[in-house]
Amino acid sequence: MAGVRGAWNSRFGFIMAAVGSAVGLGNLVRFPRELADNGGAAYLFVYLILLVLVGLPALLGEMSLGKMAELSPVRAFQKLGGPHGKKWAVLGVFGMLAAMFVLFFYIDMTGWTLRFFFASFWDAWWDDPEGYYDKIAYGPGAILWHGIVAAIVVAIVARGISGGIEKVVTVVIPALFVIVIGIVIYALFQPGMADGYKEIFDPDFSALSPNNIASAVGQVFFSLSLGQGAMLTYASYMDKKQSVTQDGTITAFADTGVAMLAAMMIFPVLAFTGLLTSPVFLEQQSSFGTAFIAMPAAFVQMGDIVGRIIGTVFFLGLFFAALSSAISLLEVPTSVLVDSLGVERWKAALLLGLIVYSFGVVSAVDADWFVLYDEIAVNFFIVAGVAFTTFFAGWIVPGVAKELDSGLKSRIGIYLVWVMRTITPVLILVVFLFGGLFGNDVNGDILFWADGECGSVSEADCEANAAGWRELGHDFKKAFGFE
Amino acid sequence: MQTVDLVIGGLGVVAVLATTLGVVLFDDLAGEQKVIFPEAVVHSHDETKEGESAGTVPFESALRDNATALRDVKVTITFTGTQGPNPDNSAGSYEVRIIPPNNVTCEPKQAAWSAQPVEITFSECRWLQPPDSRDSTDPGAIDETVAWDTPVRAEVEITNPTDLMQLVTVEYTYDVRLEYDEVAYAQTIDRPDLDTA
Repeated sequence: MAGVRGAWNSRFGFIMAAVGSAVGLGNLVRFPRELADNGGAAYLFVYLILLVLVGLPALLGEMSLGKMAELSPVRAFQKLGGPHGKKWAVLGVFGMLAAMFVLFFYIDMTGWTLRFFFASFWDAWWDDPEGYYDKIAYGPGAILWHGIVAAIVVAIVARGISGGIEKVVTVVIPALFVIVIGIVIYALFQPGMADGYKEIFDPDFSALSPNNIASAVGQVFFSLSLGQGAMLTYASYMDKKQSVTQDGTITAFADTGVAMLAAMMIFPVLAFTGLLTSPVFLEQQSSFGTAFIAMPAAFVQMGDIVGRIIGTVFFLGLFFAALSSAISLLEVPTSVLVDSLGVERWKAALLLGLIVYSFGVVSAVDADWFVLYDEIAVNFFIVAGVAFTTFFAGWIVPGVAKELDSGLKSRIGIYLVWVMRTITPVLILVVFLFGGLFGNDVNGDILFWADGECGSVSEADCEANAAGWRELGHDFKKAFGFE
Repeated sequence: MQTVDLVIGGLGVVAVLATTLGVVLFDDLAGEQKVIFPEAVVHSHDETKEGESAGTVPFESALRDNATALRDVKVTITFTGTQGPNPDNSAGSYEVRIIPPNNVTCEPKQAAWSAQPVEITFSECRWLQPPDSRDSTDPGAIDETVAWDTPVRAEVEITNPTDLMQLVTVEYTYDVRLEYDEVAYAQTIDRPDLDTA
């Protein structure tokens, strides 16, 4: 089957693809900001615990399903679901839709990174990074770059696993590591960089709130590309001799390593250029503002030559990270069309690329649609996808423990499955009920407005709605004796 | 021609239509810019003055570092000494007035005399043009060219307490501490944050 569907040429190729899927803008852009805003080392401590107890088991479970079934998500759930396989196949559709909804706006963001990279050569953002970002983020120009990126992603996926995806990721992911480590080392020797390290490493446990912890779980999910079928799909092309546990663990820790390196890149750079205490950075409430406004402003402070060089490679690194994630997301529905409907790969990739492009046009011109796609994907499909996939791997499919042990000398599969069955789902439930969904933070954030943004809803309506959710949260906590 | 070819052709038409509509209708689709006013504390002011007997303790200071607003204004009045016999059984009052720049008024606040430290907060006392515009769709609503160099003034008026046991006015000494955060607001275009990988 693998020969017909395609397969990875090497273990290195698979690991680079899996790491490429996991490492995206969430690692390079969102994680550093989350780390600095939510207690530094205290947040990291919680993140690592959640990575081991929630993220890693969910990742290994998803990968095991793919390797065991050697099929795309829909048919994998169908095959492994036994006599009720057709019903379980719905979970595969969930993953496919999650990947599609993420792609609608993710391609837009990838377009920003590519545009910033090319704009570095003609100084477009040098004089006014904020003005440039606001000019290019949405509008007809954003449609053009959205289309260019969609075409690149389609072209890579259409060429298949070893002929397209593997060839690209084995170049861009090592290059990404070199870029990030290079900037980290450069920043390390600059006077004044220490404040940046303080920002991310000084522990502040008082900054941890239920909402922040829920946010850390979300970061673990999204960073590892869980719940979108990407890891399941990539693992379905693995060599049978490879160990899911070994390769999955490498992927998870490489992903976290890149996220930490990104924090050690961004904050020292902001510190030694004086941006850390400047309104240019302080006024940025979002991770976008940090990456596309504060960082370019920092490059300007580095001077004409060094600033331009580092700025250019920084945006190239962002593009590589975003591209490798976008490829993995398009591969999910492509593999479904190939496996389930027998559509030729290039036609499947083109068809899906056109759908992604058309939906993405709307978010390329209107930020509200961008946010809507994000919320549907993240707050609905991905959360449910992770919960259901872990439940399926832990409780429904026999043989997951054996698969996790394959290629290992020690027998740890049974323990990992036990974690998948008990700790992981309970933590997902508890954190999202008590942190995200029924959070009590000052903004009255609820899961559906997880960023404290009310979108087009008026502030009064937003607060009234959030108050209702908080009351429900209190009732829930009382019912279970937590209050 | 296979069905999938027809679907691809149809989606191609949809993509062209979406592009055309996106380009032509961009201004309508994008709607009005959503402007937010993120705030950042740029300086924390903390000043203590001694107050003796009845009278007014004045404070005056300028906002720094492009700050355009006050936040979390708090005055703490601490009894420090007595010339009378019985501070716990005295009755009097404090009145605190904060006078922000730009002719914006803050309601004065009163508190009863106490031998314990008295905290008077003005958390609602912040100003901006227009007041409390934290979320507006009108980028022109705030005049950022307004000069904010007029000083912040605070006055703490202390009424001498009466000793309730001896029914005589007594004179005490106080420390008056004024604290507030100087906040910089900036008008920026709302940008969605990144939620995913």
